[in-house]
Amino acid sequence: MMNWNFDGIGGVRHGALLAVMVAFALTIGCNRAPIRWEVDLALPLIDDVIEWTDVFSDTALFSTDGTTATLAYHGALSSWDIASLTQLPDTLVTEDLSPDFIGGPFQVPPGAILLDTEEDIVFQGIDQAFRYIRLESGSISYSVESSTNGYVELHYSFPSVTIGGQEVNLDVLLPPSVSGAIQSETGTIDLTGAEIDLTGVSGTEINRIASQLTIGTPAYLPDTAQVYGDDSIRVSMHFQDMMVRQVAGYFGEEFVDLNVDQTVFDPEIFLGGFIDVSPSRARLEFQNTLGADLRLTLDALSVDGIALDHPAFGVPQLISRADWQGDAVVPAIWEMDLLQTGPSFFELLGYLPQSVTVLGSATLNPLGDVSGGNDFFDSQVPPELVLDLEWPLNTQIEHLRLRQVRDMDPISLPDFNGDLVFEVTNGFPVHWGLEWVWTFDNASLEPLFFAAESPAFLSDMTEDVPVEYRIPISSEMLLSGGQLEITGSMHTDGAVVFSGNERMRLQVRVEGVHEVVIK
Amino acid sequence: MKHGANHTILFLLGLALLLIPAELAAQVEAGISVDSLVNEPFMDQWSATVWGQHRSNTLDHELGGILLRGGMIDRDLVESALANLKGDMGAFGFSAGGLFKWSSTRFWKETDARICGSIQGRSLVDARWTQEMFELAFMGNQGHLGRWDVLDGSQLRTTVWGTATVGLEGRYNNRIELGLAYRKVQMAGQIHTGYFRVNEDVDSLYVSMRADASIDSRAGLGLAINGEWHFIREEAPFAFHVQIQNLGWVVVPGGGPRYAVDTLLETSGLALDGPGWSLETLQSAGFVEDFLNVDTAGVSLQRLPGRCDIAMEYPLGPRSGWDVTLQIGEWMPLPRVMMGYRRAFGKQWQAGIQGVVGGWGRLRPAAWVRWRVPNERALTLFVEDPWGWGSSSAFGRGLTLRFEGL
Repeated sequence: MMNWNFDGIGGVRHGALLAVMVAFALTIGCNRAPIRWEVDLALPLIDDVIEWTDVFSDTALFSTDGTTATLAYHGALSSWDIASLTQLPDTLVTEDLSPDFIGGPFQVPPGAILLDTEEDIVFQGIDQAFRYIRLESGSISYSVESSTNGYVELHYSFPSVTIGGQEVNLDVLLPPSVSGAIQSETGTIDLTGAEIDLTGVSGTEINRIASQLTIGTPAYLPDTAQVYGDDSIRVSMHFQDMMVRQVAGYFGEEFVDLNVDQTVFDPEIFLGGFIDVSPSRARLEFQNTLGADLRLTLDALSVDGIALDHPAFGVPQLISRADWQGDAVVPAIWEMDLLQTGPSFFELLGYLPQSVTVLGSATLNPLGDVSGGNDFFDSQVPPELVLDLEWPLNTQIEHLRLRQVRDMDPISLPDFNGDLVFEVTNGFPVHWGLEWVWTFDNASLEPLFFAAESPAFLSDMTEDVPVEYRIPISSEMLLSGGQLEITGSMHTDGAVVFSGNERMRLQVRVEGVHEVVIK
Repeated sequence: MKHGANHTILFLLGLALLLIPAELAAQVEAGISVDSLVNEPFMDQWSATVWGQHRSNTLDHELGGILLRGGMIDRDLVESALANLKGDMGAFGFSAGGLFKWSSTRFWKETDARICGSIQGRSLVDARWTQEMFELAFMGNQGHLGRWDVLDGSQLRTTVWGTATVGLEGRYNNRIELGLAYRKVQMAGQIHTGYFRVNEDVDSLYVSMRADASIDSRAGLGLAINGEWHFIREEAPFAFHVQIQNLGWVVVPGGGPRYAVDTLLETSGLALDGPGWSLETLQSAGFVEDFLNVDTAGVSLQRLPGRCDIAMEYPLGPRSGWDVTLQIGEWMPLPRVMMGYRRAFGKQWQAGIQGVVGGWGRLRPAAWVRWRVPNERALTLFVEDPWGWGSSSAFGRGLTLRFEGL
């Protein structure tokens, strides 16, 4: 390779030799093809467990005595939001003070009182007779304007509005207005958590806030105001977005629709089948937390549009007021036994319906103001429709089919050939059938179908029996991305007792040859 | 995670390949001090040396050539390289550069010392890997399920620097030089601790990694010292030489990126969804940032990859002798030892053969020849592993060319 000829080589040629060597090196270094080699991979990818709580999400609470699991649910299906009690209408209050004379100027010395008035701010548009509210949120946006050529001091107090025990006041000092310009000040008072006495100045009224407004010239400023007949002082107070936490008073005889449409089984997950649902207890409760009497009428109960009959339907039920002691409440409860429906509510439920609908209505204070204006409501403890269910899992399952769909992101693993190895360990005492459909975003690839069976884990078995399945995969399939749809089917021959501890373990690993390419 | 391990080693190897100027090969300077045998009188001296070498204890030319030029790496080549490791860590080194040294004819002031100096430019590549790392990268993990793969100490670093120094040269060519060092660039990456294991049933994976890497792309400036001390006495039956090169530090202004990984994953597979390690979080944005820490390096003081050579020569007769040289430093994983026999042929030719061991490779031969040309000039050619120029099974080659004025 090297035929060195050093004859006559000198200092100058030595540099040329180095240059030639560098050029040679660079030439070789630039003409590179991709480097490729194969590696044998065996890696675990997925290890997941499917349990009862995955099927019933967080709506289910299991208990077990070691042999039989019980699905016990006690929770609200729906809560009753009474908008008329929880939101006060926005109210605007304005005061406009103008002199009683024409011309001027009229000299007003420091410390003079121009207006001192005590009056109620009345909330309009409220059908109820409120005496007290505690606000969840709300605010007062105020604006004070003056065209008086002199300092104007304003003190607006609300003795019936307190926040953290402190009275809410507004103090504003406006400088003199010159050359006809109007001096003004605006701002906002946050009423979050405010407690408001709505009995007004007299203490016997309803829906009104006592206020005192004083306008004058400040005594501590040696300024004599020049007041003309066309001067004015304008005050506006805008009560906004007042959301009620607690309210007391008389709520009136209000008629409220009570309609509930509850999703039960998502048809995207529960494809079909039947579960023998035989609860030992199933009650529908209405818990009245209102400090007001109710007359409740349930008109209909339907499962996926199939109407049910029950002795309580259409019969008005008088529910007495809840007992409030401070912040503690003892609700009044009316209940109906769901096991008495015809046809059976749970037989219909066993067919995995999408929704359950309850239609009804309620009337507040059907007997009038029997409490003398002492109705009470806390928006954080609303009346609720509660399901009380206890279901021992000793049941029969017929062709129950569940589906999970997973998006598969593209995976760049060029030149891969191998297997995706699924290992299923069935801990349920029922036979499972599994179907996998892998659809690819790359339309040129045919969907991959795969079916497998996993035997039941029986009580006399001492070891798990994992079942392994292999799916051939390629880099093209991995790179495509797509969706993996897994459908599991379950069937029992007769009733089967579930302990509640059953689990299904799914493990996925990849084994194959990957050709690494370095470009 | 295996894929990640592949990328790590490939990144290291790729970086090496980018920085290796192909097969520009020649062996390191090593101080072929043949002058001591012929006992020339003092006179104005200069020498210009260029060299280049690459060496590995694992990668033979066939595998190295594919890594260099591209192509398909056959499994037999990988298994052969694996067998060559013999339980040691794999190593690859590349060194190239040029050096010009001179000394003045005039004495400095009233002393018997003369002004001398040198200018040089060098580049280095040092890569090391554990046997398990090599096997993971080039063969995969399926062949050794259940084994703990230890990745500790796998690393790659490369640097380019130069120095310009001046100093004084006294009797016996003893000299000391001090000057400026300019380091153009340096990159380094290292796995401090790393383990990988997949069990026999392929349902348990353990990966841990604590590693860092940095790229100092901004040039650093500093000081470097070169020194030589020669014990040459007519009454002594041997000669002894000590040479220190590039003992110095540079101040690196910082600003380059630094990467750090410190993570552990032990799983029997990822859950489909949920917090922590799951397919859901793995596919979510920002997942990598959770365990890859990236920041910017600050100003730092870094040492140059200096080297110390210790050599001894022993004459066996008026025209022959043997020599041994020990080289330490310059990122070599093991000290490099050269031992050989030399002989003069007439007044113009000298030659020698040597055995070289250590550095980045195992035992290999070397040979040199020196031709004293007219007009007080000499040309020396040193070839390390002469079979490396024609055999695909050799593990490196080296070439040094020196032209000197006597």
